[in-house]
Amino acid sequence: MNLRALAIAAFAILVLALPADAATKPVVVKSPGGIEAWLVEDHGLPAMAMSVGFTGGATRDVKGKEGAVTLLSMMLDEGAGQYDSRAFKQQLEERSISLDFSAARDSFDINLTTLTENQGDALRLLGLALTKPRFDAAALVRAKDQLRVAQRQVNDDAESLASESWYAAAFPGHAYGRRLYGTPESIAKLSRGDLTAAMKSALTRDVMHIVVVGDIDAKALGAALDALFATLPAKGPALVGPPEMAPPALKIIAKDNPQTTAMFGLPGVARADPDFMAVYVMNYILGGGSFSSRLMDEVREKRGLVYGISTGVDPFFIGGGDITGSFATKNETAGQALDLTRAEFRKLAAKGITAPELADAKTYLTGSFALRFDTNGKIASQFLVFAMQGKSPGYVDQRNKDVEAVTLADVNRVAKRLLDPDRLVVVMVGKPEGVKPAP
Amino acid sequence: MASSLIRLLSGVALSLATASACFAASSGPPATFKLANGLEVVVIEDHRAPVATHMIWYRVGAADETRGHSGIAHFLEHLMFKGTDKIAPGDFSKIVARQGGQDNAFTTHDETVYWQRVARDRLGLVMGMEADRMAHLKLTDKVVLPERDVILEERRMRIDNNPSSLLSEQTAAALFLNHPYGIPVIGWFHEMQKLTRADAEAWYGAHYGPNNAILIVAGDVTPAEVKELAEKTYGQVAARAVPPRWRPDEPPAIASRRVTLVDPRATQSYFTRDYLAPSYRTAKGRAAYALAVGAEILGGGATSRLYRALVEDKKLAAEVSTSYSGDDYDDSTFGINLTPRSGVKLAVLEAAADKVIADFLKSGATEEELKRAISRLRASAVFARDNQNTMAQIYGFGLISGETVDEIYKWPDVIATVNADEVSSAMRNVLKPERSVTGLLVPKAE
Repeated sequence: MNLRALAIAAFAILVLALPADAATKPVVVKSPGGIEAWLVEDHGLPAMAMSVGFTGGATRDVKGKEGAVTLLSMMLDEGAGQYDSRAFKQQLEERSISLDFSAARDSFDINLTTLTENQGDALRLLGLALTKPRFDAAALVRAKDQLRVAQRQVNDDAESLASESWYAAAFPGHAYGRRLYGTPESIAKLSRGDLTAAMKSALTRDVMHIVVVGDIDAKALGAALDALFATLPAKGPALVGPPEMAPPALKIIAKDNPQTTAMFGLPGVARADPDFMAVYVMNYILGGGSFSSRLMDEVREKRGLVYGISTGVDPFFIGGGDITGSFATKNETAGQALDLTRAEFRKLAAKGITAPELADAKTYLTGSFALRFDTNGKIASQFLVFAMQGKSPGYVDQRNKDVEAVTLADVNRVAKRLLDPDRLVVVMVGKPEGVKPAP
Repeated sequence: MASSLIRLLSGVALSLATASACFAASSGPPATFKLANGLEVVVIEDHRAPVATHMIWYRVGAADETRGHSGIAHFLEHLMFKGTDKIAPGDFSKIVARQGGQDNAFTTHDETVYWQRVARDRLGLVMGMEADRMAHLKLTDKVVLPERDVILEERRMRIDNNPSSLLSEQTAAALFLNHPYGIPVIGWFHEMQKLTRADAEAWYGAHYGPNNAILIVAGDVTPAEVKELAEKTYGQVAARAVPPRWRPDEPPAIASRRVTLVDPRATQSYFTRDYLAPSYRTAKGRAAYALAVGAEILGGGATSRLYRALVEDKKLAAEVSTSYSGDDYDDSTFGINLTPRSGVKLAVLEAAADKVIADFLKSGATEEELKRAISRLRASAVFARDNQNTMAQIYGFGLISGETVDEIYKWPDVIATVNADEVSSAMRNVLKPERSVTGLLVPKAE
């Protein structure tokens, strides 16, 4: 596993999946044993992508054993059944099978891609990893050190450090605020038994969702599902509830960088909230719309203070959600950029948006919808997010209608409720100047 | 505008190396044609979704800059979003977004590239806008000066905040004694600060025109449709006199070099080794293909020599990788990157890596290794076809570097015929100490 990629993936803010057109609507396949998967059959390429997600992820870590679920993701391809680590990886690589396990803050994901000619072997090897993982001692020692290396890489990268530190500052005392890679103390304690326990609690069928895209039919998939997943526990422990955000705060992590990297955020709404789509549209106008957002106009285009500034809506798979954003600017202008950001929050909350802004947001959000579904890999990961959010396969036809239904009054109402600049939890990495303390 | 400075991002370079050119035999090579004004056009059909990727590739990049003006190629890329007579500053991307599309651009040492992803029926619109700014860019100090601050922030973010990026900037500068690949694409800070509107206008005037560009359209389109739209849009832009591409050659490499960056901000150490290596264009015979296979055997994945020796057996490295991108116009680099495990001294890791390299050069690849590497590279070519954007990039990078559409299309077939002797010979010619720079990132604690 590439640790750097792991670090980056772990901190990517969840992007909301935007549904596709009817042509890519999945069908639900049910195995003889009753396991369900969403299937988008496509025979254009001799290849298949399978994405499996388990709600919970690193929130399943037990106190004092932080990092166990991440370590599990690093150990599941380190040998299974008759194959030790080297033999297992050779089985995969000889067949160009890509099998990735990854742990995020609130989900555990499996991504499998294979050419059709090796499909049988790919499914056999995933099945072995899930039913007979070895967790050999030598591999465990290695993976634990890779976890320590990953933690140092996070510390050395300003964006990753700001993000990890923001979650810790925003959700202290909640599983969501813990370090994804554990601490030196917790890593030292992790044992083979902790991996087995983490697997039993994090990989259970009651929180499992499966999406398959590509060159496989319903019959072949249905037959494979039981062999892959039937031995996983039917039910796991209860999921933790959504985290409450800490009071407004400003935390500065001193680092001798020429530029300050900031992450900021405040409470948002859950995906199931009826106002969710209004918040989503509001965010596009505030800072979600790349070069079409108010923050980009004010902070980059007019003043040249940043290379990028953006905000995102992040609903948690365990419920609840936040609105977060980030920018980086030279230390001398850190206070100015934060003031401008707060001012845009205040202005949008107080004065709302304009009708042309709403229209532009809708045409982008509905029109760019198809761009999310133009590769098998993207289709699989987008539908997995829908499945994990409790949507049905048919939601793909409903999503743009939900965007269209958002009114100016809806956006202005949620902006007034949510965008309180004095509510922000802010973390800055660098040597920021001119920053006013949290109100 | 956002830009991915491809050669500054090692991860990207690696994935491009593995993807370097492709198609499975069934789909046929892309259609190509040329407009009367010299614009080359490539159409890659992919009818699975009703969308299109539109890219214009200019045959000019940072390695074409004049000394003292580093960063101007990338600066102009940003300024190309600052408007024409028809489009107000900053509106280009907003118009694309209002059509449900996405757009951006990137600059490398060899090319400057602008792209949009749109629903298929909006293709004509973005082609018209792109053709408009090919000929009618309008700049004022009011928009140029804040954008210069933006690229300085971009440099701080990508390079100056990041010890490992600073190390790769320094190693490149040490590897290329005379060739401009040693100068960073984004530019040296002190030179970027002095770039002016006049510099940008001169650069634009000298290098931008249909006869110095390649249009690549991938997606749910036919060559006939693209041709009609291209004639109506780009076809209306007159050719411009463009200086021939010329870069100074490297002198013979005679001395191994070492670069040590001690950075107290870092907590994790790194080891890099870069060798001067030929590209697909500059290599003799099939040496570049052999290097792609050699890079895979040496450091591609968990069955590679470096992984087995340094990660598994000797327990010295947490991660290993090799990178070889033959898609540079001139001689470029073959790279090895190692992350030591906790408590492992860089000198110990280096000695062990040198032994792995020496053993490989002495004994060569086994049949099993050769077979596995070829199979993986060929599979990457099939997986690349899942993504129209990846396909457009493979052809763009390949064509700019001097390959032909046919060569790019047949890449997997040629890879399949590379033999062990060719790999040994190519690797022995490249992995020589005197052709190398060793880079060490040392945290203060060490």
